[in-house]
Formats: sequence, structure tokens, C-alpha cells
Amino acid sequence: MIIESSQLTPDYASRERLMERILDIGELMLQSGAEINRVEDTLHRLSRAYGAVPDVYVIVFSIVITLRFPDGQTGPAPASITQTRRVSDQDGIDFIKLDELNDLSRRCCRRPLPLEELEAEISRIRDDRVRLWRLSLGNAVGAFSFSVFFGGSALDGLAAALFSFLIILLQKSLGRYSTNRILYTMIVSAIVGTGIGLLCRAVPFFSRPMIMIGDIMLLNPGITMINAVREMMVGNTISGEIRFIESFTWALALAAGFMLAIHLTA
Amino acid sequence: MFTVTEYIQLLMAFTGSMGFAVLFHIRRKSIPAAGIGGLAAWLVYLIVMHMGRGYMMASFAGAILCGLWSEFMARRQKQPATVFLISSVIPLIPGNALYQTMNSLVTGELRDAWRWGVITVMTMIFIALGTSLTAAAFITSGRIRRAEKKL
Repeated sequence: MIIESSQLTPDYASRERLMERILDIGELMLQSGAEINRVEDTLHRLSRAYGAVPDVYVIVFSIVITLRFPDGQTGPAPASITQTRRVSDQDGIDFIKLDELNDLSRRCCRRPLPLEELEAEISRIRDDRVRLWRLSLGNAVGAFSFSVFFGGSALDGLAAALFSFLIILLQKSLGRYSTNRILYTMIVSAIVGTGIGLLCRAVPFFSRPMIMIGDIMLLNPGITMINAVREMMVGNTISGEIRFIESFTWALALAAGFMLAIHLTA
Repeated sequence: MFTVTEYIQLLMAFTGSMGFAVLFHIRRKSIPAAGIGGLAAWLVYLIVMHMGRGYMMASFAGAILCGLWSEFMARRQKQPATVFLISSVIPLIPGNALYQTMNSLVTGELRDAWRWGVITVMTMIFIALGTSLTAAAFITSGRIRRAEKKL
């Protein structure tokens, strides 16, 4: 199923550049919360579309890819190139970004884009971030709903929504400098928890548990944990285990932060 | 047959799932489906609880429904199934049990902490099982269909 690689000039530099772009796409997919299988599958298809025989291995924070070029034996171009990419932490789930990346790779599979166009498309998708108002709205509605869901009054819900803005504020300020998600989660939980505790001491008709639960729902790693188990079930044992341990530790950090807050304000 | 609290819960499952859908940056056309998934998941949870089968089976059944719903909507709206799965499974996540575990640990009631801790972990396990089983079933059936096509 090898398409003739008319798009590629058969020199080392352009093939390396192509690989960089393929790795970019994989990296962006992982950071927006794609499943491992989907990333591997996409990188496979993309490489084939550009006329290479791929060998791809993806785990949560690393991509290893070897492209073999069928014309490498005869022409001036290399027969194969290998590159790896260290992928930093997830940016948070972003399904629109994933959708656009899928769309881009589907277009490339039908008709491989020239490198310049591919580069332009990738940087456009990379810069497309979740808007702050969307983030705030989603957080506030989530916090309100689950505060009331677990038995809080409408006022508790509003307080939870208010503290969800504090979470975003902390994510935007502290999050940029955090090197370690565990410690960072613990600090955010402690600050938010202390805020809620103080509010409930000042205004007794607020229910501390209900407000806290609303905001815990925003911070808790339940989704990561569910995804981790699913990764293990479909055969990506290593990725699944890494994610599972990470989310479990993350839950402990969250608990530690809120427990500290309850201690401080009770 | 449901109490008022439970109706409120159903409504909040609907809005809450939509809130998370917005947070996860889901396309606008898919947001209502995510909310309906959350509502349906909690409806199934409540029905199983009313049948007296306990929270583990209830979470499991709710998670299976989320899996089926997400595969169904994925085909209708041409989106990956995860889009719907992740947001509709949110109401099942044991936020309350996690809080109670922490609170009992702080107040030193270790017996309660243990009980709530087990509930938290078991709920998560059964949600994960339910969603994984449906995903595995759909992946396998897809492979069988593709293999048959080749024959």
C-alpha cells in the first residue's frame, strides 16, 4: 500500500523535517488526551501516506518512530531514519484539537500535503487553545452541578462555582511554574480547601462538605484513572500502568491537600 | 417512584456532564448528547440501586450504559467514542465517597475512613470495568467484521 513519494525530495534534510512534523502531530495528540492506539494508528497512516514504511511505538511520554524508505537502497537518500520525542505532560483534554488533528491526518492520507502546508497547519492547530471563558464556564457549571448533585443547596453550588474560578486562577498562575503534578495538586487542593473552610466558618449556613465535593469533582483524577484501566485492557499495559499509578498518587495528593485544609480550618 | 432529591440529581447529572463537556472542549453539537449520557448513566445507577443490587452493580451498569451510548453517538456524529464516554461517566465518579474518606481520616474515625475508602476504590474499579468491557466488545466486533469482509 505504498504511494509513490512524489511529494518528497529524496534528500536527508526534507525527510528529517517530515519526521519532525509526524512527531509533532503525535505529540499534540498525546497532550490533548488521545488514546495510545489512536496515536499509533494515526502515525502509521501518515507515514505510509508519505511513502515510508513505519515502525511506531508510543507510550504516554515518549514516541519512537523509524521510517524505512523503499527508494533508499538505490538513490542518494537514506534507507531509514529513526527519531524519538520526549512528550511532556498532558495539557488537559481538548477534543476539538484532537478532531482537527484527525482531520489533518485524514486529509494527508488522501493527498499528502507539501511540507510547508503541513507545517502551517500544525502550528495553527497548536496555537488553538481552549478559551478562558469556556474553561471558566465549564468549571463553574461542573462545580455547581456536582455540589447540588451530592446534596448541597443552590447557595452551596454557587460557592463551589465561585471557588472553581480560584482553581482556574491557580492553574493559570501556579500551573505554569509547576514541575511536579503531584505537589502542584496538593498545593491547589490545600489553598482551595482552606478558602472553602474559612468561608464556612464565617458563614455558618454554607455546607462545607457540599462545596468541597463540588470542587473535588473538578480536581479529581477519576477520568485519568478510567482511561488508564482501559489502556491496560486494550493491550497498552505500560502506558496504562503509568497513568494508573500517576492518577492514584494524584488522588492521594488531592486528599492530602484537602485534609490539611480541613485540619487548618475546623 | 423517585424522590425529589433524585430528580434534582438527574437534572444536575445532565448539567454537570455538559459542564465537563465544555471543559473538555467538545464540539458544540456534541454537548447535549454528553449531557443526556450523564443523565442516562445516573438514571441507570438509581434504577439498579432501587432494585437493591448495591452500589457496585449500579456503577457497573451505569458505566456499561455510558459505553453503549458513546459508541452509538460516535457513529451518529462521526466523533471518537471517548468524547461522549468521558463526559457522561462523570456523575458516576465517587466524589462524595472520596470526601467522606478524607473527612473520616481527619476526624480520626478510622473505621469510617476504611469503609468509605473501600467504597471509593470499588466504585472506580466497577466504572472502569464497565467502560472497558464495552470498549473491548466494540473493538473485537469491529475486528471480526473486518476479518469477515476480507474472506
